[in-house]
Amino acid sequence: MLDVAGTAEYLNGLHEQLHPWIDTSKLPTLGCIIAYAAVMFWAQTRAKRGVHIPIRRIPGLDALDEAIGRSTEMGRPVLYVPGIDEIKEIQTLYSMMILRHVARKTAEYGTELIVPVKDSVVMAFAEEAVKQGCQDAGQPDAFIPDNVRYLSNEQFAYCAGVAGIMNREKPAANIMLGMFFAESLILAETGFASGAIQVAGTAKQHQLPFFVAACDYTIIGEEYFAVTAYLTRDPSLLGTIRAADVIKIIVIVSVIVGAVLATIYADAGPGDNWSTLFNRLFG
Amino acid sequence: MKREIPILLTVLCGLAITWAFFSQAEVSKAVNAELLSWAIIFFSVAFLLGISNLVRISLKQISSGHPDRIYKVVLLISLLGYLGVGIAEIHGLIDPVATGTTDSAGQVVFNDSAYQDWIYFRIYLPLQATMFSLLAFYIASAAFRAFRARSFEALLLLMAGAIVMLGQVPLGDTLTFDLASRWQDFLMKYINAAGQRAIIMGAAFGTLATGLRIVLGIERSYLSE
Repeated sequence: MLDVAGTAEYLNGLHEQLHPWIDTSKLPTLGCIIAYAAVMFWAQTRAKRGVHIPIRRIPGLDALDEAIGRSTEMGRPVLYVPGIDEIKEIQTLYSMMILRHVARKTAEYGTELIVPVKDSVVMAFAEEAVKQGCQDAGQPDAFIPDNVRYLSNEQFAYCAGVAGIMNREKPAANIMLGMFFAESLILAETGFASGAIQVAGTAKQHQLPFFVAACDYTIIGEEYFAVTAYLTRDPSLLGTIRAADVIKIIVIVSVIVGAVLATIYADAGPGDNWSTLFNRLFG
Repeated sequence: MKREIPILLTVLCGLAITWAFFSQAEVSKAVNAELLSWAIIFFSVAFLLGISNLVRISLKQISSGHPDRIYKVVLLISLLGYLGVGIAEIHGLIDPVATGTTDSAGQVVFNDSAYQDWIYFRIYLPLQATMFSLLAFYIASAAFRAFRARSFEALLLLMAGAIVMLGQVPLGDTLTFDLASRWQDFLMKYINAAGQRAIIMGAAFGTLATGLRIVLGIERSYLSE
C-alpha cells in the first residue's frame, strides 16, 4: 500500500529544504526534461559512434530540392517565407536553420533567393543564414543583401507585401516554413494562383489544414523539426530524432496503460480488489 | 572567439531563464527580469535596422527605375508621413487641441480626432480588415480544390467536411434527422481531437529537443562561422 501521509510529509520536507531555489511543484517537469536530455545524449552518442538511424522518407522534404530545381530551370527566383513570429519562437529559429540549407542549394544552382521578413531581428538572422548558406556552397558572391527584405511589423501589411512579391516577381517556388497565423491561407492561395510550386511546413496545427488544401507539399508538425536532420543526415541531429521517437513510444505506452487503468478503475468501489474488478470486467 | 562568445552567452542566458522558471529565488527572478529588459532594448534597436533595410531597398528601386517604383514611393511617403505626424503631435508641433484632447495635467490624449489616430483608425485598420476579409474567398477556393474526391483520402475528407458543415447548421441537422450533429460531435471529439493531439505532442517534442540543443550549445547552425 502507498503511504500517502508519509509521501506528503516527505514532499513537504523536500520543499522546505529546496525552497526557494527550486519550485518543488515543477519538479516533475524538470525531471521529464532531464530524462529527455539524457535520452537525447544517449541517442546522439550512439549515432556518432556510427549506429545507423533510419529516417523515413518525407515527400515534403524531398520536394524542397525539386522546388529549387524547378526555379532554376525556369530562371525564376525562390521565395522563402520564414513565418511571422519573432526569433524567440523556436519554429522561427528553426526556420533560420532550414533557410541556411535552402540558401546553400540556391547558391549551388545559381538561383535567386528572396526572403521577406516581418521582424527586424529575424531579418538579421535571415541575412546571416543566407550569407552562411552561400559560403557553405562556396559561392559567397551569390548573397544579395537586398533580397532579404524587411516588409512590415504588422501581420496583414506583411502579408500584402509577400502577396505582392508573389504576383509581381513571380517566384517559381514558394517555401513557407515557420510559425504562421491567419495569413497562412492568403499566402498559400496567392502562391497557388501565381502558379508556383509550394512547400509549406509548420508545427502550428491550426494552420496545417490551410497549407494541406492550398500547397503541393506540406511538412506536418514533428516533420518540421526533422528537416535539418533529413537534409544533412548529421549524426547529432539524427540522434535527436531518435530520442524524440523513444520518448514518444514511452508516452504512447503510458497513455495506453493509463487509459486501461482508468477504464478498469472507473467502476471500482470501496473494498474492490484486482480479483473482483477482473471478474466484473471479464467474468 | 567570434563563434564561442555568442554560444557562451546563449548557454548562460538560456540556463538563467530556465532556472528562473524552476526557481522561486529572488535572484533568479531579478536576473530573468534584467535579461528581458535587455531583450526589449535589443529588439527596439533592431527595429531601426528593419527600417533602414526598407528605406535602402526602396530608394535603390526608385533610383534605378524599377517597375515597382511607384509602390515604393507610396511606401516611403506612408512611412515617413506617419512618422512625421507622430513626432509632430508628440512634440506639440501640430495643435493638439485641434487634433486631439488634453487631460487635466495638460498632456495630449490621442483619440480618433488626433491626426495620428485618424490615420490609424480611418486608413490602416480598414486596409487591414480588407486583407483579412480576403480569407473568406480564399477559404472557398481552397475548399473547392480540397473537396474534389480524386482519391480515397480526398473522399474521406469530403465526407467529413460535409458532415461537419451539415452538423453546424440547424437545417442540416433537420434534414438528416439529427444524425449530422451527432456524427459531427463524434468526428470533432474523437477523430479530430486525437489527430490534433498527436500533432501537438510531436511538435512539442521537436520544440523541446531544439530548445535543449540551443540552450546547451549543441545547435550552432544558426550562427555564422
